[in-house]
Amino acid sequence: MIELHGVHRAYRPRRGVVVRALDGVDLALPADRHLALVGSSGAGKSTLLRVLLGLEPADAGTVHVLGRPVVPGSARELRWLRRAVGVVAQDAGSSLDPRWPVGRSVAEPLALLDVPGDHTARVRHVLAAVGIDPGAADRRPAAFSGGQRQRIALARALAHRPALLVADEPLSGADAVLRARLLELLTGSGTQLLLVTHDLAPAGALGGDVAVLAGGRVVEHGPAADVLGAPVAAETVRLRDAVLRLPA
Amino acid sequence: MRALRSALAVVGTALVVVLSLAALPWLRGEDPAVTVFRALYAERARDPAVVEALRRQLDLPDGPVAGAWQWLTRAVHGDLGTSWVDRRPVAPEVLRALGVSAGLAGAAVAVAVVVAALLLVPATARAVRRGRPPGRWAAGLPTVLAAVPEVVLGVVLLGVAAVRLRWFPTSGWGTPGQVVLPALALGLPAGGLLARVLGTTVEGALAEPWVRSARVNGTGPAAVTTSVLRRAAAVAAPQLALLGVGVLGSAVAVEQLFAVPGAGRTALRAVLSLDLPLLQGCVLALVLLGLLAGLVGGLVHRWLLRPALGAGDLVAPVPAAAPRTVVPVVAAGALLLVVAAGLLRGGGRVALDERLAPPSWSHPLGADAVGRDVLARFAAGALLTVGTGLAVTALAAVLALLVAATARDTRPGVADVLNALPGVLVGVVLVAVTGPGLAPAALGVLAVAWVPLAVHARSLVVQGLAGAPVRAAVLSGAGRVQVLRSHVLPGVVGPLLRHAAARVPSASLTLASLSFLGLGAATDSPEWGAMLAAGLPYLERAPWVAAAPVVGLLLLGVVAGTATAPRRR
Repeated sequence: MIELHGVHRAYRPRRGVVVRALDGVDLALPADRHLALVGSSGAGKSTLLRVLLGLEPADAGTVHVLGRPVVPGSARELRWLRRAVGVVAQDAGSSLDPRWPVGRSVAEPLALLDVPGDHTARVRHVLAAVGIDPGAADRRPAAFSGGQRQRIALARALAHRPALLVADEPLSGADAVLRARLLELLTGSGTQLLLVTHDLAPAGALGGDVAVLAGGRVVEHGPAADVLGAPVAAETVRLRDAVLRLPA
Repeated sequence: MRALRSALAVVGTALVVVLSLAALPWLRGEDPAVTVFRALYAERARDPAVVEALRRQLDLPDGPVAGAWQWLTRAVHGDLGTSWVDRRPVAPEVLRALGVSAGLAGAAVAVAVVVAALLLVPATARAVRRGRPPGRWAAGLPTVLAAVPEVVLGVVLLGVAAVRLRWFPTSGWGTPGQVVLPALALGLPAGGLLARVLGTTVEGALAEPWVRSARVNGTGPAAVTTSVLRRAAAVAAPQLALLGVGVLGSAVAVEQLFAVPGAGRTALRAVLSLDLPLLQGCVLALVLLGLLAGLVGGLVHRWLLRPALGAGDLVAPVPAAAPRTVVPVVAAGALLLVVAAGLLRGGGRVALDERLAPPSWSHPLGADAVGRDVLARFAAGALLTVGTGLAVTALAAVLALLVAATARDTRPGVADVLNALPGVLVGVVLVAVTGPGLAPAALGVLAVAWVPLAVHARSLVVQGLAGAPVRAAVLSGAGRVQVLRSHVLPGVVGPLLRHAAARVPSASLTLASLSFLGLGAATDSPEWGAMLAAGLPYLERAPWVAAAPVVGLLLLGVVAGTATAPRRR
């Protein structure tokens, strides 16, 4: 599904300062397993996503999705990638255009990607699937709670039936009930998941692979049970201990 | 790459402007030597020998190419040629005049900033404290102020503060007292306009989520107010630079009124006496000054917004719903009624026995200097003035939207070069080429009216492109055109139309200024500017002659400013 080989990416925010956001990332994701990409802030998660989604180039190394190389380009050139990958952004709720009825926002990928079929019916279906009343599709985002907006954004990302759903910190800022609900919706969507998160807790619940990112490198990668049960890398231990220190 | 594109656009535009400026004496389509002859000897029969002597004396080249080359090569060395009229070098005269104009513009911008701060800061602080959008008066007062014609304000100040109260000198330049009245005349309307543009952004900023979260988290109203104003200032920074240039432009009439020897008055003198080298020098100086102001504005904008632009974390501009009022309906209704009443009266006949007759039953708005009914002329002029101003502004708004839609960032482009060309000044130059008339005047206004709109729209576009909905759309396969059409431009059109509407009176007024200076509509035309000019000499004896166009333009400003509230969403 996804293959990254020796991906480097550095920023120069100021003259004389170099930030190596990605420092030789190797990562392969088979087509049938969920992956939780875990790393604390500044580990390179966001940069990895931007490179993977063709938003910015890798300085060195190769990125493949479904066997095709990912290179930043025009919307037309990257259409295949947009069709293959649905994205739930970190600020999912605010990614809905405040001027648009939410139904229109959910239908936007269908229209942009020329998805065949009845768009209205599909919008109703995905909204219902995330537990939003399809009759409320003509309301604007302001009429929904934050949790509802996050679920609508999820519906939007799933609308065009992508092969892979990339979710960037989809659970941050959600209460315990909503976290459980969102996780349930994500795993029950029937789509392969790439979940980007800064703590290990959801990684176990996902029941797939876990890759730990630290300092712009993948320091540990394996089945969730192995990584969580017997972590090898110091960073994984640190992240696991942080989870364990939380009050029950 | 982008920096290169930006640089090419700036250099290309500047080159076109400078080249046409360098070739100005040839753009009239006649031999410059003949122009000089006419400038010196007016209507006298043309003597070929004298024309040839003038050509040799003034060292006039043979064609526009050689002429432009000569002017440019000399200008690089600081030599702007010699005056066709008094044969003195142009450069020192231009430098002196520019210094005066820059001083006046600086004082006017200072007044404008103070006025805008007085209008906005209390209203914003109150809105933050109450957690509600600013009240309707907060938008109304700047609108009215922005619609006050500089010339009219100047005349009122002149009549009241200088002639009647004798607080300040009536004319001249050099003492602090002489700065006050022209600076007020220029700065008060500019302050209103600044407060208006900033007010729209403040409303948008107040509707953004972080304001509520800051309030709920216990951040003090003062800190939130500061943040909101800082956010507004970022969007308006390019506007502030433009304001200075706009002031330079409207300064022509005010400088003329108060006899301030600035670049505008010098350029006007040059065009009236066909002293084209002097005109070239003044225009070049103002172009350079404007370019500098535009660059500074763009840099400040980037500096204030830079962190947010980099991370792409700006919230999309939320359409702020303005309170509905009946003000525009009432004002437009009143205007329409008066115009209809005037149109029913037919054309005003000349009746010398009714010269300057005060308002009465037979002449509800009085009579003018040749006894014509003011109401009838007011109505006839309404169509001409409103029509031309509206047409020019509508074209300008369309042009601005097209330009802004191609913006990728706020690096200087074509617009920033044309900033340097205030409407009145472009009108002055065009008139130097074509001769006076409403059409060249309107063209001159259009040539620059789109620029502030484009700069404003460009800021909004760049902001919109940094928003979360745009990022989501891009990840759903949207290209630039689709993103602009569906997520960015809908948030731009509202504020842009409001801004454009606020500029209808100023477009009408730039035209009016040109007519006032004798360069636009014919002096006898009922166009409100020409009518105003015709009424000014009688401002003390028969104020009703000038009052009609003044009230008309004010009402027009109120209508335009309040009628275009964005639809409630």
